[in-house]
Amino acid sequence: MNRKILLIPLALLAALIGISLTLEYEPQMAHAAQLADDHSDVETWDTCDGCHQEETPDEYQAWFRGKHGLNNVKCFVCHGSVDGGKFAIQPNTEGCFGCHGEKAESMNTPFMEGKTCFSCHPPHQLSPHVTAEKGAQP
Amino acid sequence: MIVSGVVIETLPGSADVVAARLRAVAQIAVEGSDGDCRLAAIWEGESGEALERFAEDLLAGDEQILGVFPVYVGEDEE
Amino acid sequence: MSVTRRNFLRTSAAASALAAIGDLTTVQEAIAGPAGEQWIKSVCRYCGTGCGLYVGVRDGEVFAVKGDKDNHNAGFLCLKGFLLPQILTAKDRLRHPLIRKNGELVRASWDEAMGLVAEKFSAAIDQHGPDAVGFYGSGQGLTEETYVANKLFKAGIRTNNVEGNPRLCMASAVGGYVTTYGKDEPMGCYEDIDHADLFLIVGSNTAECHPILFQRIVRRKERNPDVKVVVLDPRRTPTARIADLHISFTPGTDLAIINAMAHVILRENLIDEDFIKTHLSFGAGKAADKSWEDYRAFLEEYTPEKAAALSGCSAEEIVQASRWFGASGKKSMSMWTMGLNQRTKGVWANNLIHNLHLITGKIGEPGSTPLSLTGQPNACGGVRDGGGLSHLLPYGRLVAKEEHRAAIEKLWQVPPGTIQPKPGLHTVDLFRALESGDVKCLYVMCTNPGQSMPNVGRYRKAMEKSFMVVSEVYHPTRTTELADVVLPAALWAEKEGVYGCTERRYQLLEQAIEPLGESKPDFEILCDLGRRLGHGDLLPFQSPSEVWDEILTLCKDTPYDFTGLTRERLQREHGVLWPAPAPDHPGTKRRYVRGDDPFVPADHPHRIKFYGKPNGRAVVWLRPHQLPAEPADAEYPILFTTGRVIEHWHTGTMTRNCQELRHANAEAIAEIHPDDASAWKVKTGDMVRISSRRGREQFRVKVTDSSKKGLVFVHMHDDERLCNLITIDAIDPGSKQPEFKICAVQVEKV
Repeated sequence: MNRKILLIPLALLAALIGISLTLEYEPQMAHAAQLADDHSDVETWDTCDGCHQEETPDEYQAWFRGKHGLNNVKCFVCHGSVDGGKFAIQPNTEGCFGCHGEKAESMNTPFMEGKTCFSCHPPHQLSPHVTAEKGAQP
Repeated sequence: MIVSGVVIETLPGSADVVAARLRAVAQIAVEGSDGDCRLAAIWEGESGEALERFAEDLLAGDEQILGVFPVYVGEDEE
Repeated sequence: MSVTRRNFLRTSAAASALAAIGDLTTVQEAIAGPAGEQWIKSVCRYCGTGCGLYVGVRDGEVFAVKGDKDNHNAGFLCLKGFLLPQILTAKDRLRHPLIRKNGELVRASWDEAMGLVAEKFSAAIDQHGPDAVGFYGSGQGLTEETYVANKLFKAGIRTNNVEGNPRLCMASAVGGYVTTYGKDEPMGCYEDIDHADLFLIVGSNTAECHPILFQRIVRRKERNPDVKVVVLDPRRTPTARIADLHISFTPGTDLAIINAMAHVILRENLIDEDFIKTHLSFGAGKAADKSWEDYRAFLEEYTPEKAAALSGCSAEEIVQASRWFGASGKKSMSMWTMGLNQRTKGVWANNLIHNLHLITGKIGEPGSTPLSLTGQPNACGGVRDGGGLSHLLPYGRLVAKEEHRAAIEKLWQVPPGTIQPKPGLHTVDLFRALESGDVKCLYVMCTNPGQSMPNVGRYRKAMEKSFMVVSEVYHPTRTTELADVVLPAALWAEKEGVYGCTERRYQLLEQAIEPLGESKPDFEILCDLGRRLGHGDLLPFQSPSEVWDEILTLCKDTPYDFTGLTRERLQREHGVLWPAPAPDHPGTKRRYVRGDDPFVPADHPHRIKFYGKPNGRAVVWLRPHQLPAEPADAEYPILFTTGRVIEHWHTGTMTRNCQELRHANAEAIAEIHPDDASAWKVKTGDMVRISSRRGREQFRVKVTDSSKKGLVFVHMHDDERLCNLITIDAIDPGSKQPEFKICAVQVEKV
C-alpha cells in the first residue's frame, strides 16, 4: 500500500479530532472567566459538590457513581479551585498522570495523536474500557 | 501495513488463559506476560482503523479482556 | 528490504509493549526525566497509609509528585498527597528563628535562639532536677529525629518526660496489641485486603482518612461480589457507601455490640475449638487467669437483643454481622482507628476486636487479620517502635524493667543507672505539670498541641505560662503563638529519614531540595541542642544515615529486628515489612505465622506461635461494656464528636496552605441530624453555640441525615474554631489516651 495514501486519511482524522477539540475549548475559555466571577461568593465552608449536586446534577451523578466519586477524587483535583489560578472547566490531563502515570507512555504514539485521556474516558464518569457486565465497574 | 505493539489488560489472574486463546487469532502474536493481568503483543494489519476495529472486536468478544492499548505504532512501506 | 523493516517494526513493537507491562524495567530510586528534571523516591507526608511517591524536582524546586507504582499503593495518591508540593512554598513558612521579647515574637539568629533554649533548660535542670523539663514530639517526625530526642532526654538529661502525639492517637491500639498478644503492632499487612471475604470497619471513616486503603477494599469488593463489608459507625460516612451492612449506634455502646457479636459466634458454633484449645488464654482485669468457661459465662448476658436495646441498633444487624464474620471458610479482616482508640475504654475496645479473631481462629492467614489503621505517617516507626513515650525504651523495651534499661544503657554506652527507673509523665499529665509548674520547660517538635490537646483551653494557659520551645514549619500556628522560642523546621522533601507506616513497612524519604530560608531538619536542631547541653558525645551523628546505623544496633535481637534494612537497601527498595533480620530477608508479611515470621521455628508444631506471651498464647480479655466518661445527661443532652474530612489533615497547617483546599471544607462545621435541626430550629448555614463543661465554640451548621440524632460531629482542622475547647481530657487508665470521641454538650442557635 502506498504510504501517502495511508497518511492522508490519518492526518485528516487527526486534524478533525484536533479541530473538534479546539471548537470545544474556545467557548469554554471565555465561559471559564465568567464562571470564576460567578464563584466569587462561594463560602469556604462548602465544597464544590455541595452546590453542583443541584447546579450540574448530570455531571455530579456521573462522577459520584463512578470510581473517582467513590474514592473521593474530588472536583478540584481536575478542575482546580475557584480561588486559584488553575481553575478550568475543561481540565488538562496533568491531574490524570499524578496517579495514572504509567498510562502516560501509552499516549505517546501516532495512534493517540490529537487524543487526550478524555477522548476515550468520558469526563466525570471516567470509566475504563470495561462494561458493567465485566464486573469491574461499581 | 501497520505494526503495533499493544498491551492487553485482562481480569486478574487471567493473562495466561487469554494468551492461550489469542494463539488462535492470526493478526496478533503474544510476546510476553506479567503472569497476572497484562500481555504484551504485536498486532499487524492494514490500517489504524483496522486496529481500532480489531481492538473493539476483541473487547466485545472476550469477557476476560478489559482493555487493548496500543503503545507503539509503526508503518511498513509495503 | 521490506522484510528487514518489518522485523525492525515487530521488534520495536514488542519492546514497547513489554516495557509497558514492566517486563524490561528494573526498580530505580530516581527516574531521570527530561533534562534538568529529577524524580526522587519518597513517601507521602500525610497519613499512616504510607503511600510511596516520587517528588519531581526542577531547578531546585518541587513542581509535582506522582505515585510510586512499585509500592503498595500501586501509583495512586489521594487528593491531599497530590497537592503536596504546595506545602513547601506556603507563604507562612517560617524562615528564621523567633524569640519572644517584651511579649512579641521577633526574629533572632540560630545562635541566639538555641543559646536561650540551652540556658533555660540548663537552669531548670540545675535548680529543679531533670524532670523539670520535657519533650513532646510527634508521629510525623522522622524515626531518626525521635530517636535523637529520646536519647538526649532519657540518657543525656536523664528525664523520662518524653512523650508524643501518638499518645492522643494510637496508645489504646498499642495497649490492645500488647495486652492481647504481648507485642505491639499488627501481625497482618495491606495484602490481606486482597484476600478478605468480610471487612469489619469499626470507628474508621476509611474513605476519607485512609483513602488509598479504602480504594483497595473497593477493588477487592468489585472483583469479588461475594465480599461483604460491615461498617460500625454512629454516622453514615462516605465509607458506608460500600457497606453491605451499616450499623449505627449510640456512641460509647460499641463494646456491648462487639461482645454481642462474640455471643452470637459462640451460640452458632462459629468458633474454632482447636484454635481456642491450642492458642488462647483468658483474662480479666490485668491477669490472664480465667478459663474458656468463664468467658462463655461472661458472654451470656451480651445477647444481641440486649446490646441492641442499649445501643439503638437492631439485634438482626448484630446477628448478620456476626454470621458474616464467623462464616466457616471465609476470611475476615477488621480495621479501626480513632472511634475505638480515642476512648476511656480504648484498650478494652481493641481487646474485643481481637477476641473476635481469636475465638474464630481467623488470624494469621491471608485475608484474616485485625489491622489497626495508624493515623500518622510515623507513629509506628518513630514513636511506638522507637520507644518515644514516657514509659518506653526503643524496640519493645520498658523504662520500668531493669534488664531493659541495662540493655539500652549498654548499647548507648552510658553508665549503668543512667536511665531513670520510673516512667515519665504521659501527655495529659505532662501538660498538667506545665500548668502546676512542676515542668518548667517543654520542647515541642512537629505537632500543634495548642490546637490538638483535648480540653485545649486549659492547656493553652499552661503552655503560655511555661517556657515553651516549638520547632515548627509554619508561623503562626495555635502553638507557636504561645511559644517563647520558635525554631524554623525543614519540611518533608527538605530532609531525609525513615517513616514506618501501618503495615510495619519502613521506607526512606530521600531529600529532594534544600531547606527553605534558615530552616533546618529537626535532626540537626536536636544534635545542636544536645551539644549545647553538654551531651554531644551521645549524639556524634553527622547525618541521619549515621543515626539509622545506630538504630539498627538497637533493634537487633528484638522482635522488631530489622537489621537487614540497611540504608542502602532502603534506598534501593520500596519499603520492607519488619522483621527483616538479614539483608537478604524479604520482610515479614504475617507475624507469628510459621513460614513467614523468622521468629517462629520452621518445625513449630502449629501454624501460629504467639511468642509475645511467655506461654505462647494470646489472651482473650473479658471486657464488660462501660459507658464513656461523660455520657449525655439532662443538663448536657447531646453527644459531641470530632474528626477529619478528606481535604484536611489534622490541625490543617499544611492543607490549609494548599490553594485548592482553602475553599474545600476549610471551615469547621457542625453536622447535625435533621430531627435535631428542626428541634433547635436551625438550618444549613446557621450558627450554633456548642458548650461543654469545659468550654464553648460557635460553628456553622450543616444539616445532614448522615449524622445521628443526638450526636453532633465537628471537624478538627480549623485553627479559628477550636473543637477541642469542648472535648474532654478524661483518659483510658491503661493507655492514658484521651476520649476525644465522646463528651456531652448543649447546643443552641446563635
